[in-house]
Amino acid sequence: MALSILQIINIAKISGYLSLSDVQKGSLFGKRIAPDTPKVLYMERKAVEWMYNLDPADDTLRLTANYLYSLCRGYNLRAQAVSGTGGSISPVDPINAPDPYDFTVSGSSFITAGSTTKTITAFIGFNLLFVRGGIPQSTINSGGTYYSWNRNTGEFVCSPALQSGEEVQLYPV
Amino acid sequence: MPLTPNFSSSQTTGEPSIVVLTDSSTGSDVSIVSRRVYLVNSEGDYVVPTGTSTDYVVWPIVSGTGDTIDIDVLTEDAALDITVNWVDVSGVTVETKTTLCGFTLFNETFYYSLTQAQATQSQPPPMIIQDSNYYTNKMILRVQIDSGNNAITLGDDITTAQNCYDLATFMVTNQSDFF
Repeated sequence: MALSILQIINIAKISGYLSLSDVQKGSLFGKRIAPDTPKVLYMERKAVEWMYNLDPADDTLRLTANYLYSLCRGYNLRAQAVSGTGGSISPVDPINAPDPYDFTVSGSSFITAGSTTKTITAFIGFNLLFVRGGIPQSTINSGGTYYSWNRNTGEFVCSPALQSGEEVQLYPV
Repeated sequence: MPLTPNFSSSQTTGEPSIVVLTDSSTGSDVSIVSRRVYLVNSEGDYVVPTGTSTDYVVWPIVSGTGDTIDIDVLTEDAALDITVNWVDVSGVTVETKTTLCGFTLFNETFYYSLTQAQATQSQPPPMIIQDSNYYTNKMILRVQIDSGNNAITLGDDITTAQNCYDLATFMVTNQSDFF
């Protein structure tokens, strides 16, 4: 049976202190490859846990929780043993999303220079993550750049218009 | 049974400008006909929705306990002293309750979007986590939000809480410099 979001959050909590203990052992037995793991686990777990507490039915949680679980590598099975949920290797729920778009804006790109709208039929049914110039964009209009997405119709709108040479990534999530 | 006033506050995904209040009082008082909500920020100013001419927002009685009201007042994360007055027909306060609340949905939403970006960028570089000081800055943002929340829940300190939230807001507003 696949791991629930809450199970993954708890595994991440336990993996956090297990990894911290492991890093501490590095002073005796050699430096660990990823000494930042405890901090990374903490940061990502806090994000997933926040969304879970706010809306446990949020449809982006499976993606981010699976990512969090992937960060627990090396500690996840011990964490399950500590929490009493061990004894078998539980799969995570897969995400079967279409391929993302990654392009430089031009007159002939997927979304052309000067455009603000695009209907992306392949992403209908998914949420959309819009990355512009390497920066994740928000759907909140706070005076800067932002976008809107209708997961039912596939209508994407961004503001301001895309400029030639901009790097754009569109991820279905 | 006399009214024991109480309320809780929350926010809803995708609506960070809206403060949601829920009446969680117990008991009843037949003299109460309405409620008034006062929102005070860390500067001591009343915060009301655009177009409101009073210092308060009227919260009509529908069922009493369980009633909710959406108040659209936020432009960024904020610590607010919220007072709800239960008033009689003359507008005289019969019961009152004040609670210090933190509203962090603007910055928390951005923080979560960073994790979403990390989770989706599984193909070859460039990836967001390779940006200069990415994890350091993300941790700073986390600490600022959490510190603001702790200032509220542990210290009842609206000034420090707002300072912490403002630091986080600065990072989000200038996200191209930090992330």
